Formats: sequence, structure tokens, C-alpha cells
Amino acid sequence: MKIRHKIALWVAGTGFVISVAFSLTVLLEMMEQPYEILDSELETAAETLWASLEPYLREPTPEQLRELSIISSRYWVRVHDPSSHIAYQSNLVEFADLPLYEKGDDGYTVSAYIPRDRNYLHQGSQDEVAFRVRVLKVDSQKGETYRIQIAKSMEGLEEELSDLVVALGSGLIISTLLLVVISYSVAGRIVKPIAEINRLAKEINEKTLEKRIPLGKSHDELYALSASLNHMFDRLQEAFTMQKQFLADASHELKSPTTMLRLFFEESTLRQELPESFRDQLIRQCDIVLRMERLVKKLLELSVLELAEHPKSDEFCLAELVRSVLEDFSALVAAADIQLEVALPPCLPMTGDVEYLRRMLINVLDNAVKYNVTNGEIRIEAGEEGGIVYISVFNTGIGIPGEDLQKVFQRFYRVEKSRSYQYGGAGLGLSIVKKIVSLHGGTVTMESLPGAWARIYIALPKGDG
Amino acid sequence: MRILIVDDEPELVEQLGRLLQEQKYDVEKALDGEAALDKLFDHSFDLILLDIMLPKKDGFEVLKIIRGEGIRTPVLMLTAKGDVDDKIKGLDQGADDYLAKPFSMPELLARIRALFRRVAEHGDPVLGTKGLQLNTVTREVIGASGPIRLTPKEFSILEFLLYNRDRVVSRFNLAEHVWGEDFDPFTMSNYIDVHLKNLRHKIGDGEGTIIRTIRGVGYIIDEDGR
Repeated sequence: MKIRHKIALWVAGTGFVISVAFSLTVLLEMMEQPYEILDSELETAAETLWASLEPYLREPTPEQLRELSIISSRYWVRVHDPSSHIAYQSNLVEFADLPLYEKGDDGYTVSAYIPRDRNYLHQGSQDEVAFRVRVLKVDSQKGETYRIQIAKSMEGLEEELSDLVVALGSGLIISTLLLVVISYSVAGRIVKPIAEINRLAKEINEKTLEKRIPLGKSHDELYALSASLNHMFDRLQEAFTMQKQFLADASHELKSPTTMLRLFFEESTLRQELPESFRDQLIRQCDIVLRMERLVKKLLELSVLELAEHPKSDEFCLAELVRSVLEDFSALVAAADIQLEVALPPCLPMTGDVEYLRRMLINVLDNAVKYNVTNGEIRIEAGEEGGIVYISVFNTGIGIPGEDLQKVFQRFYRVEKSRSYQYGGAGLGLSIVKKIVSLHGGTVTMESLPGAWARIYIALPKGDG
Repeated sequence: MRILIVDDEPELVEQLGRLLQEQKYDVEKALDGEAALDKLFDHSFDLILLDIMLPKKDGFEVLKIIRGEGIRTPVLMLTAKGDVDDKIKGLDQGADDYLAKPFSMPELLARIRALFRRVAEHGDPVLGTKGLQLNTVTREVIGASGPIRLTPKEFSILEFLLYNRDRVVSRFNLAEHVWGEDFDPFTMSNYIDVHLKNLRHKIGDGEGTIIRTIRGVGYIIDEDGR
């Protein structure tokens, strides 16, 4: 998950939880309050009613009852005498019979069925009416305990409460959506410079090690990050240069000693006066010295290529270069009974470093001959496709195991140590090929069927020519 | 013929000196640029073997100074392979040839002899043996029965053997010389025999009397062959 999404999710999520908690608190508070008000209203009404009702409880006159009914018209009232007989009831009692619960001082809520055509009390489609009921105990002047059951319809209240829930809910949804949008865009603003630094850091590779990330104006955390990265690139570049320079210096230092060894051994093998067996020894040692010398030359060649930055831009015919290198191999190919198939266009113009590319071709063909079989085959093809010049060299032979196809371009890689040693290979030829190809901005790949064939495919940009 | 060897490696200078003396050359040695200049101002030489990396004054500086002083002695620069820029710079500043270390004795001798012939005022460009004449300038070869057409490789082999007359040249040395250092001499030396066979056929040397085979080592052109 991206940091941007994480930040947005955390901010929006936290905001949502806080809003929900706040809304719930408000809702609960708002729901409690009306009941408390209603309960105290019912109590007051009951007391008022009792005050006017008590004197006439035994034998009320019709006028008195009418007067009472006016007072109690808004309430559902039923007064129970000490022996639980109904002493008085209001008009509303005709429409609904509400149960009597002994709940101490608290009110309770019940619902009753009252068809709206009989008495309209804002009931819903089900004709259900919710009543808030209170039961109050009062003592008459004679010391008898009466119970007043008083209730009031709550239809209006219910509606108001549901309105409140809707308002809070929609507020919650809107604020959450806003929070998501805002936190996502803020997170984007925070992350953007990091993405920019990442893009710049990616641009710095082996070839562009001298590049650095530009430092921002404000000395914030991102400035510190860029500075740290730049510092790391400094050290990386230094290490790279040092490693390359070491290779160059080391192989350079080996030149004179190998020259001395070579001169000594080569000249010694010519001394006719030496005993035969001793000369045989010398010839074998001389071979080792020559291999070592070859290795030093190849290492030096590679180190020069490593330190090279821009190849020359010669304009030339690649096909002609291939033909001239093939000419040098012709006797070799004929002597080994290798069948050579060449498919080349007349010129195949390109721009590049002729000297480097010649060396590249020599190394590639050397491998194709060296690792071939008697009566084998070499197929060379070259052409151009959309600004890319390609050369493909196929050869029969021992091939390369699949897991090693990537390794063939590494220094000192050899498929079969004994076999290539026999041919004097140092395991540097394909590293040199790869280095020359990448200096030209091209690509090189190897394919093989182990035990049967190998094919190297080189693609180079055609260049300005 | 006097040769001045300039290199900062005393052992190498000793060894080269001894090998060149065996070839009847007079040898002087210098281990740094200033010592080389001292010798060059005091004596005259026929050739200078000049290393590039030298203490006090490097090879390029020495070359610049002596050419500035009008000393026309041929200079063969010695340095590492691959330093193409060094090669160009050396040749631009008046060096006559360039040889990369490590090198072989046959290669060095061939270069030295070619240089002597090229720069000598009455230099004879023709090398010859037993009725065979090779012109190093026109690149023509004339045998007992007239001109012989050789491929560039065959010519190069014959020329190299003639420059190393009376010395055995190994297949490896021949391969290095003929194909140059970009090719792998281990691969190429296996096929020197193929070229030798063709060359012998063309110069009418089927018996191997002009170019003798020294078994296990290589080939030689010598006057007193069997």
C-alpha cells in the first residue's frame, strides 16, 4: 500500500471514529432530554388534575366532570382508588387501554392501536401511537392512596428524534467524505517531493554516477534525505572509480614482470644446448607464462574499457567490418571443417567506434570457433530494423547450461574450465563484448541448447550516421 | 648498431640488454628520463627503446626534447596495450613505432630491423634468402621462377621469418604478429601450419628447406639449413 493511501486512510479513519463518537453522544443526550421534560410535564399535569379532582371524587356533578374533562382533554388519565376501582378516566381512555405498570418514579413508553379516523394523533401508517405513561401515587385528605395513571402521545417527538438521527447520519457521511478527499490531497502534497527524489535517484545509474539530486531551498527533512542520498552517491562513485582504477593499476603493474618472464622463457626454449627433458619443462612453463600474459593483456583491455566513457563516432559499414574479421578467421574455419553461412547486406551503415566493434566481433567469432565441433556450423546474420543494427552469431558446439546464460558475460566465467583452458580462454572475452556493447548503448543476449548450439545476439543503435 | 634502452625497471633493462647484445647490438641503458637525455646528448645512437612511464621525465617529454634538439634517432615506444591515446600521442610527437608490453623477442627484433631499414639513408628494402626476394616496401615477392602472389597473411609470415633470420620463431609468436593482439594467439596458432603449408607450396619449398620446421617449437629461415 502506498504511503499516500496509508496517510489518507489513517486521517480519514481517525476523523470518522471521532465524528461517530461525537454524534452518538449528542444523539443520546438529545434522546434523554425530551423524556425528562415529558415526565415532569406529566407529573405537573397529574398534580393539577388531582387538585381539582379530589374534592369531587365520591360524587362528582356533571358540570364538574365536564370541567375536569376540559383540563384533562390533552391527556390520557385514569385514576384508581385504593381498591383498584377506576375512580375517574378521561375521554381518551375510550380509544385505548394502556397497561398499568408499577415502575416507581420513572415513566414508561407503551404503544396503542388507535385508528386515525377515530382520533387523529399524528399516528403512522400502522395506526400505532406511542404513549409516555407515568403512574403517580397521591394521598387524599382522608388518608387513602390513589394512583393516577397519566399518559401523553409522543408521535411528534418520535418524528423529531428520527429527523435528528437522519441529520446526524448525513452529516457524518458528508464530513467523512470531505475528510477522505482532503487527507488524500494533503497526503499527495506530502508524498510528492519524495516521489520526485525517488525519480531522480533512479536516474542515477552506473553510467551517470556523477549526477546528483538537486537540493531544495528549505532545510527540511526532504533536504536532509536528498543530502544523505547525494552523500551515498559520492561514496558509491568513489568506490566505483577506485575499483576500476585498481584494476587498471594492477594490470599495468603486471606488464613489466610478465614481459621479463616471457622474454626469459621464450628465449630459454630456443637454447639447443639444454638437455631435452629440461627444455620440455621449459616449454610447458613458457605456455603458462604466455597464458598469464594473455590474461594480463585482457584485464588491462577490460580496465581501459571500464574507464572509457564515450566511444568514438566513426561512420562505417558494419557488414564490411564483419567480412574483414571473417577473412582473418577463414583459414581457421576451413581447417576445422566448419561450415560457414553468412547473410550480410552490402554495407549496413552505422556510427560507432570501429576499433572497439572490431574487437567485439573478434571475441564473438573466437568463441564461435573455439567452442565449436568438427564438421560444425557457424551462421552469421546482420541487418537493420527501426534504427537498430543487429548481429546474430550462431554456432554448433557444447552450448551453455540454461542457468548460466546470464553469467556468461561476467568476468572469468567459463562453461568448462578444462576445455577453455585448453584453448587459452581467460573468461574475459564476453565481458569485453558486453562492455563494448553497453558503451554503444546496445544490448547483448545469449541463447543456447546445451550440448547442441549457442547463439549470441547483439543489438546496437544505428547512431547518427 | 647502438641501441639505448630506457625503462624504469632495472631487471627488464638488464634482460633486454643481454638479449640484444646476443644479436650483436651495442646497448646502453637508462632508468629514467633525465639519465636518458644525458646519454642522448653525449652519444649518438641508432635506435631508442623508450618506455612511457618513467621517473623524472616521462617518455613523451624525452621525445619532445630530443626532437626539439633536432635528434632524428628512430624511437620505438614501449607501453601497455590498449592505451590507444598513448600510441597516437607518441606517434604524433615523433616516435617511429610503438610496441605494447608484454612483447616477444621476435616481435621486438622484427620491429627494430624494420625500423633500421626504413630510416637508414641507403636502406635496402629487400630481404632475401636462397633465391627468394621480398620487398618490404612494394610488398612484392620474387622467386626463382618469377613473381609470386602471396596473401597478406602469407606475406606477413614470410616477412616476419626473414626479419628473424637465423632465429627460431614459435607458432605463438607468428600468430601474434600476423593477426595482431586483438586475436587470441592460442586460437590462431593452431592454424599457423595451414598458412605455412600454402606458403611453402607457393615459394616452391615443398621439402621445407627454405623454411625449416623445428619440431615442438616453430619455424626458422637460416642460411646454413640442411
